[in-house]
Amino acid sequence: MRDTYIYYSYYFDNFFLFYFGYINGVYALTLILGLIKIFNRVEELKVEDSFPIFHSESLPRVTFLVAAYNEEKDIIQTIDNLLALSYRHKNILIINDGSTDGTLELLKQKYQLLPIPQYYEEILPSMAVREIYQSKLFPLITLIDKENGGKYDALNAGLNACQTTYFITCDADTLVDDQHFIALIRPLLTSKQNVGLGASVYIKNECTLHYNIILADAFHGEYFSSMQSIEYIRAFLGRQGWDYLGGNFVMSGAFSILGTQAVIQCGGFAPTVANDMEIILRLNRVLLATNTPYKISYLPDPVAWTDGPVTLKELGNQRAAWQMGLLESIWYNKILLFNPKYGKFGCFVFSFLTLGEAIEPLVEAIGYIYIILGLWLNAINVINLLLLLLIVWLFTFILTATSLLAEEITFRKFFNLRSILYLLFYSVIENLGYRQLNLIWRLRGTFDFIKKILIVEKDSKYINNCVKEAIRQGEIKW
Amino acid sequence: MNNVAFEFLSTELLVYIIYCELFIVFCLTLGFFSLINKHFLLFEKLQKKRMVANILIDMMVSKIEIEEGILQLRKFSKLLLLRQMRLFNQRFNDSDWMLIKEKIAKSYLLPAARQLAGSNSSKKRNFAANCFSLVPLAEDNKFILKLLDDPIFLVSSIAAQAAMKLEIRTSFYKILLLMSRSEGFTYCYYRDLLIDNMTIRNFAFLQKIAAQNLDPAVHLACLHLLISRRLSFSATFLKRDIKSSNPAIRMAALKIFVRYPQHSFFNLFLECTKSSDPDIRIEGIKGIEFFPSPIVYFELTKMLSDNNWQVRLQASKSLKLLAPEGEAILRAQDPGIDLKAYEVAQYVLNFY
Repeated sequence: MRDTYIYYSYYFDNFFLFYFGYINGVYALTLILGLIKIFNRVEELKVEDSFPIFHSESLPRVTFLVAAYNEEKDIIQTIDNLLALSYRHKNILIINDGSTDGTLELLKQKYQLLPIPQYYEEILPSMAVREIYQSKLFPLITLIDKENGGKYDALNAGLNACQTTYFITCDADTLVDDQHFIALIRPLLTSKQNVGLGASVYIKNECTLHYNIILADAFHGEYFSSMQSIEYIRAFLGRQGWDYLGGNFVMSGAFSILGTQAVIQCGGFAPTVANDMEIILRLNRVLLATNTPYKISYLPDPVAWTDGPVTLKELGNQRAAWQMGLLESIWYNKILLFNPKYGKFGCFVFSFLTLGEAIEPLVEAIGYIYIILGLWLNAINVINLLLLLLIVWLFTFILTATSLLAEEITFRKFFNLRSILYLLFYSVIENLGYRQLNLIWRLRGTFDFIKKILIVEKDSKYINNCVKEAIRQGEIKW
Repeated sequence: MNNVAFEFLSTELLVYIIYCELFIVFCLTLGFFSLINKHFLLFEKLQKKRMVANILIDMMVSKIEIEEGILQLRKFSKLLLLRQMRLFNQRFNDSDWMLIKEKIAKSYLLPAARQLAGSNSSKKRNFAANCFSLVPLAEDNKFILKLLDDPIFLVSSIAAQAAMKLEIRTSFYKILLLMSRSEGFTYCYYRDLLIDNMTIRNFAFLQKIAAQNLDPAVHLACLHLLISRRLSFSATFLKRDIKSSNPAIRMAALKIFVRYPQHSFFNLFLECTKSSDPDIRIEGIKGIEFFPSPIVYFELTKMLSDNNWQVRLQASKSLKLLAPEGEAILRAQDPGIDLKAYEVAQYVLNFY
């Protein structure tokens, strides 16, 4: 058995070398490009004047779509935060997705909601709408009370009612930083080709809200919050780099700005947990197929702060769901894979998403089994193995520390020295336990996807019909 | 082939890679140390901002002479001084501040701005544009007009502010051209700037350009500006525009008619309420609301049952404005007879 292992190790070694070299090479490239983008953006912010944005009467309105399911703990703070944003030209559309707690009653009391007639046509299918309300105190707040159907369904119901050119998806536990939101408006509205704009989302678990500006001044370095903060900072820096490589494949559902008509024309949000990723993939697919000039950009500004799970169980469920959502999104849009018709996006971006992100847990799991088997058979060069693990560990640390350093030099949200030291410490120990836990959760998500494959295939047919219909209509407008 | 697994790379190569990574970690550590330093540097920067602000305040309250103040300010960087002066400029506009601002700019900022106006760096050109906008002088016209043509919005927009303050002859038309070629935020920015500086002379000039019917984009920009002001004027070109084949120009012309409602337009507004385009019906409703009469009440009541919500809403709002008869009509709506009309009437009565 040892001889067999050694014989096949030649192929496995080269495969792992190539695979992890490919992934880490792309991460390093997106990191460097991301750094360039961040520094350019910061230079732009220094010379920008927000005065015209505060005082203009003629800027277009945006609608915040806030899907809420059992969010009585956070919903009022979220809505108050949106109301207090300096950008005046906004509507706030809350979609109560059949909450069973006091979310609806709380909102009704706080904002004096009164029933209003249905003023829109339902273009996208969604679960039945029970009632529509508008606030007497703040007429820009509208609430749609509907049967439970999931976040994607709630967003589709909201899209039907949205009457502005752009809408902003916002989780019910997400706070928006006023200062950075204002800075987004000019890049968003400068070019009509912008169909989507994303911004950085950070973890707000230990942060405070100070006159609508989020401060990470109370950061205590709790384990799960810190690990998630590190992941978010690293991920959002990496995403900046994708803008230069053919486009982004995801915008965080906790905060993203999209063109209303474009999303409606593409069929709305898909029935998956990763509906934020799926809609971006589908938008790219449709807009490339119809030769519509467009831009989907990512700005590094830390605009939104969202709650991360605080317990092992919640975090595990989230990560498993994300992995399943990722695989579903890829399955719905599998036509993009290495398809030259979709240019750089299909050949490079989507292929990395599939090979580098989706199947990575499987490859990593095989790697662990390969190592354990090799050690058991005494068929491994242990010194080389340890050196390789050290290389991987150092590389991850470099990615994280660079992201953190870039964040501190530019936006300085973790301006407390203690916060930075906590984050650095946790980035050192990230590979000891947390990474392995993530792997287990992602494998669970992968198996959940395989179990659900028949339902996914049925939904995939629906999505493909939406895409065909969108392409048939010709140039997409928003 | 391997003797054992993980021998695809030599140990020496792996060690070399580790050394490279450790070097990067070392650089990052230096970066973090400089960051700690930066925290102190930022504190120092804040101190400097405060010192500049204090000197400016002392000059304003005559605690120190202006010349002495300028001498003290020369110790600080021009960029820092400019930023503080811009903040002060947003808050003060009395004659004392104007005098201080002009003297500081003439002796310290403007000479540098004139040198940097032609720079390759957009940051430096932005600095120059900001200086000219802070204290616009006629002698700097040529620099301002050059910066107005800058391809970077963050430079040309500031130069546009400076040009409008100086009322340079050609600047209004140049900014109008910029507006017509822009879209989104940039369009709104230039529109707001022109509206804020709509003097009687500029308004007359605008009408002249609109009457000439030049490039459609420029003409449309003119119409969007004309919508903004409630001044009486006779604009015969609008009768041509209301029949234009360009829907955007037709709509803009209609909005101007609504903005300056005259009795001779009543039939036009009434015709618009019967259009197949809901946006035109809405403008028609806004027009007829200025001429309360039985026929207007009749038409508005009919429009409470329109298929389009926005049209029903506008009709309802117009009736509410025409109180007490209009409001009585809204209250009289019966859900049993016409649910749509009743719902929209109740909505307006509750929320408007």
